[in-house]
Amino acid sequence: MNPAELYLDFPLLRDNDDEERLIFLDNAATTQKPDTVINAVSAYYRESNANVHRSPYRLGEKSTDLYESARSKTARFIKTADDKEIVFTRGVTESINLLATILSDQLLKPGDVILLTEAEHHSNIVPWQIIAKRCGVKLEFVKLHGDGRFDLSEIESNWNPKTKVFSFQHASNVLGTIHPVNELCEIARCKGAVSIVDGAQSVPHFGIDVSDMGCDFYTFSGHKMVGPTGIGALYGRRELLERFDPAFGGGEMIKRVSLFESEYNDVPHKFEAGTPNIAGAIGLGAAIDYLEKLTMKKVESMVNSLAAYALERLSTIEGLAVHGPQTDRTGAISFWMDGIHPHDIASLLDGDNIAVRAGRHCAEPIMNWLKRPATTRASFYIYNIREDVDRFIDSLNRIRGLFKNVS
Amino acid sequence: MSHDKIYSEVLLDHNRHPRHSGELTNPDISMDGANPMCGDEITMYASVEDGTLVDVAFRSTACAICTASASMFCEMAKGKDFDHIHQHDQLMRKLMHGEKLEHDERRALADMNSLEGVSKLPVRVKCAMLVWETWELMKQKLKEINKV
Repeated sequence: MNPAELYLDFPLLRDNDDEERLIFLDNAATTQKPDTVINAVSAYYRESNANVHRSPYRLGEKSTDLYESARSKTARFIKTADDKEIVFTRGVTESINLLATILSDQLLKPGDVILLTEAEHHSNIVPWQIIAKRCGVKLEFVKLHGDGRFDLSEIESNWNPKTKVFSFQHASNVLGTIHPVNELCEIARCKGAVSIVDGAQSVPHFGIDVSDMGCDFYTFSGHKMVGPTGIGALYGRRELLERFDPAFGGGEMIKRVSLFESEYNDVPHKFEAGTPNIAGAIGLGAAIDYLEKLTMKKVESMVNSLAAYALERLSTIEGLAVHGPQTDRTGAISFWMDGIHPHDIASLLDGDNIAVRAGRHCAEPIMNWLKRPATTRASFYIYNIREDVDRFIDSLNRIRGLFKNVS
Repeated sequence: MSHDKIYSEVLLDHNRHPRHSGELTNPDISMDGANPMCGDEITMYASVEDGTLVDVAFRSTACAICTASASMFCEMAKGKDFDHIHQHDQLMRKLMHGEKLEHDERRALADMNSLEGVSKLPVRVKCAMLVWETWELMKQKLKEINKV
């Protein structure tokens, strides 16, 4: 594993016949997969496929072992000692919808408040809007300040005593800001609210310790950290997972079923109705292995130094403004170029085989806060190299020239 | 394969200096159009009389392809009857589908020919078509209020 050439581990980046190597800078949306992850998923179907927790034969034991060992890896990866605190879901979107459903049925009363922030991805806004409409709870939002941060004292002084849930992102998918989650969880705990942290943009980038953080729930998606799509995890404090009834019924989540009543299974299985995404969980385990072999310290420093280099070079382009902080950030960099719409930039970069995102990034409220109709976003990950930044900057300068030459 | 050629000088010129950009003082109708996924937004203003688009203007917060296409639409449509516009609608759709066009069809399209390269970027075709989709909505509303 040579950190300077990690893209060689990723067949999509390594094995294409394009004239110019593909430079993939849309990693905040999804990441590419290394051979080890693709092979783990494929090997499962070739060698170990059987349903889990129910098949009375050796193959079923094998698949169950693989599935549960992926759970142990996931628990260890975000530093909980208890595997049973990990529920496999499809990812952050499903996790938050699951929590919104459970909490609206079993905790929230009409008039209660759910506190979110202006920086959230739609997946941490829309599920709450749906239940707010359904059960008469109110939504409130923490404001963004300066280069995209929250004011902790403002959160405390504006705290509505009716707030029962505080759900917020660990890092922004648009601005790259890393928020002080320990302090945010502490505020929720002191005020007696359930804390939910969206880790979609943080777990891929640096080591996470849910025990130290003091959150009630934490969730992330596998596909943004070199894992397969359709698999993610929801961490929940054991006591809370045990207290709440499941939202979905079916196989695996029960101990006993009669015609009119059922006894639910233990955690985490009671939240995993039906045959789970076994191959996905095993692929997620392989993704964790890949990142841990590299170490999360190394992941963090690699992406940080690339982002710093990109920010430095972007600052030399005339009429270009970066949105978001210069430091304490992830590798997601959103920017605006005067006189050129983000979609035109993205199409022209695509012509140079450079993939970036343009648009509202599933975070329309943050676009309103920025007063931009859309932004261009380049997001870096472990397989990007300095040469990628150089080619990206060269292309931006050429695009600038193309639009400038029209008098 | 560079996409620079798609952004031809004619297209970029219509983006930089959009024709009929702004609002009409007393339009008979106005209509908003949007591509929610990418954030393109336009508003069209029109005055109509006896099946003719007497005057037309637009405002946009949009990409170059969308703005240029709207500018070209207004240039083509102002003072023309709905049939004339409909013929160009058909030609524009042919152009976006990458279909072969005859010489006289090319001539009729005028500056709109410069949008041809957009057909090679399927995700951007909706940007070029936004003004046309908005015009469709406008015609429907005109029918509802018995203006045509």
